[in-house]
Amino acid sequence: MNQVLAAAEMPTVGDFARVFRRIQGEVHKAIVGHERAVEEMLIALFAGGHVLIEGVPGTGKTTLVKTLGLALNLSFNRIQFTVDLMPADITGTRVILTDADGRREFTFQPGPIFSHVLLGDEINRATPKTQSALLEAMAELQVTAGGRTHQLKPPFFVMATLNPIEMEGTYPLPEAQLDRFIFKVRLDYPDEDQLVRIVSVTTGPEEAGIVPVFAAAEAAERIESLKRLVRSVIAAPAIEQYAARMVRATQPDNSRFVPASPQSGRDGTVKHDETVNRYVMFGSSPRGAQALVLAGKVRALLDGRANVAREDVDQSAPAALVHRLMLNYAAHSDGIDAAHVVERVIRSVHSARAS
Amino acid sequence: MFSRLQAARAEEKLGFILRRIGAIRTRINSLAWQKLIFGPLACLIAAVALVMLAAYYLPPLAFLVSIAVLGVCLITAEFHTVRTALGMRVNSATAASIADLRAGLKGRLETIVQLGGAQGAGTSAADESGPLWPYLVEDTLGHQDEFEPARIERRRVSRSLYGLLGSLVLAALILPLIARARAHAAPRAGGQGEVTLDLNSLHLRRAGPGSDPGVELQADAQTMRRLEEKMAREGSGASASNQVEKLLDRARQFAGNLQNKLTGRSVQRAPLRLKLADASSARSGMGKPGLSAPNPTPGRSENGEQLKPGSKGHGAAAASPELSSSTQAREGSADYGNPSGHGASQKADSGGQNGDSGNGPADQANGLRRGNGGASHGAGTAADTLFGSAAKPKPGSQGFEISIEARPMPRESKGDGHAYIPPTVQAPLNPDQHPDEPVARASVPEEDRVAIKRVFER
Repeated sequence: MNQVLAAAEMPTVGDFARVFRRIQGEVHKAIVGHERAVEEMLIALFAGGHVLIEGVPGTGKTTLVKTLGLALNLSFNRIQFTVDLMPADITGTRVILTDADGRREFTFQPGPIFSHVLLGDEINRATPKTQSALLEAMAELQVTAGGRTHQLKPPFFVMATLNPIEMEGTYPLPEAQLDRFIFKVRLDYPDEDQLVRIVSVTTGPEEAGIVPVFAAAEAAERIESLKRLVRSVIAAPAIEQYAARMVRATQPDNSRFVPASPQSGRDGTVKHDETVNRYVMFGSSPRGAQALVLAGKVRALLDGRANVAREDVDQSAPAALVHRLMLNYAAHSDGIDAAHVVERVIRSVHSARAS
Repeated sequence: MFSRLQAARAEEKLGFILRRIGAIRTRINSLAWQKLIFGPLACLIAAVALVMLAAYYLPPLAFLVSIAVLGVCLITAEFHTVRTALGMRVNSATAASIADLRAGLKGRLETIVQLGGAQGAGTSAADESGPLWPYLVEDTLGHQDEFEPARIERRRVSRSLYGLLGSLVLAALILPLIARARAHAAPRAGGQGEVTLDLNSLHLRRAGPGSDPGVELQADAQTMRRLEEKMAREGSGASASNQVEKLLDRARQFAGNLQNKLTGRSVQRAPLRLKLADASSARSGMGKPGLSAPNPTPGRSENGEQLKPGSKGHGAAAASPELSSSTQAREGSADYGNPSGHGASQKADSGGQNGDSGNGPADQANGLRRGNGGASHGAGTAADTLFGSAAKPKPGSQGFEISIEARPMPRESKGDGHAYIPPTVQAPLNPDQHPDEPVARASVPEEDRVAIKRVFER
């Protein structure tokens, strides 16, 4: 009985792809370019994760998040992180209010974090204490203030932005905190054609005319049901093993924190690429494997399938793993970035499978 | 919960997909088994054919090296082929993965095999795998044309069959060569080669057990004695020869035996006739004392004509009475093929020269002549007829060289009673001559005419 009701409530595979593409279309009414970034943000949303957006000023980070909130018809808040921002400014605090009877009592005033879609602008400008308040809410979907715990209403989707320039006076997010974001999305500087279109779209008299995909009353429930559908996608044991191998392949051989693999390259296990051994200080955590599989499920649904394929995992790997690698000084001096390392890891996993 | 009918239909669809994957697996594995059978067989046939060819055409050491190389190649090829063939075998999951790749199904089949084939008794894959399982099965069935076994793996016959056919073709090409070699391996009736060598240019070494005993030596008595001295000298010196030569000899014998076993050759070859000449004694040995007239030797008829090779009595291994006792003893023990002896069996044909030349000095010393030269013998003829008419040249002989070396005879050598042995005459052919023409007569030297007349007037 429960399964019948669940099936009726659950959208179909075709529904998911239609909704996804429609949201994409609405967002691109206001956003020029950044197709891959928009897709990855939506994947992160339906995978139940949060997104870290990196881009120079003026590339549309804030506009993108606001537009997404409009298209989803979910409540949207924005936090501009500054160095003097306190945790209570994010989570809310208890204030003394006088009621109608004239009695004074402490009342919790929820902070901007109590919304469905949250934009945290320049998160690296806030102090670590303030950062951790946000990250705790991201992980646990609850906020503790004044000794009381307040639940956040799902869906709760955080998009934190990073400004890669003007690093003075910033507090870089520690790797443990970066790990909580399912994807790191990069917004590149637009090319000339895109810039022309940006100017045309944003300086004209006409509004973008975003049409919400969901009705306000049911948006949250619809998105949650779509997220449940994502979780229902079937990942075979071989796919889970493939994702695990890929994550282990990001760890260098001589890592103190990762036990050595019992096999050494035979029967499909991965021999660590020399690039990893040379440039990676610490590889991806197990959250990376979760991100690969969840993102793979979303991609499978977009392709009209009910099963995850290895291609889905491969396509999700760059966004899911890049920000989880800790590179050493040799990488910085040789100009090797994490994207290059992830690309080598994908190739080594493929070659091990082929052999 | 699904109704029983729905569950049965779901199971039936799942079964169809699993059976189709089973058929794909069977097809791929049959190719692996074919490769496992045809591949090693092809390598073996090709190797055997090449070994047989080498056995017939290569000398022993080269044959040994070739079979070693072929053996290594065969083992390597067999190992590689077997390993490759065993690696080609697939289980259901791998077959599904291959089918996914070739049909572009993106993991559908592999997921179904891994989850649908592993379900426990009494449970359905839908219960285990979630609410999207029926969708997956239906979706996969919708692509059933794309994973037909014949589309996934078109070949029914492994390409290794071509390798087997190729090796059979190679063997078929080699067979005529082997047949020709077998035909040529029959013992020769005659006409074995003859070689004349200068004793001083020979290097002698101790023969191994596998040495070919088939060399027939011919030389005069003095040359034979010098040969013995040389053998004694070089044999003692060669006793300390390196181990490598011994090893090579053993290898040669082993390879030769192996070749004989493979080819079935058991016929001994007719020995090569080797005529020894001693250039140093020829230069100083005119009228040398102490040389007795050799008796007619085996191989020559009573009238001194040299028997043709292959005729009765020729080639008998009897020792010449002119041989020294040591040589006779060696001959008596065995042919010169035993480890204790020297390498060549010898037939002393003392006094022998190129058979196609004119009369040998022994013949002349004994008064024996070839052909019709006897009519003028001892009749006090003039010096210009001293040598008689030219002997008929030996049939089938090759060209020859004749050089004349004339030296003044010491006066004291005259009249000592010993037989005169004229020097070896070698003269180049002039443009008007051909090998079958008799040698032109030489005139008797002036200083010898008196002595010669005295001899023939007795």
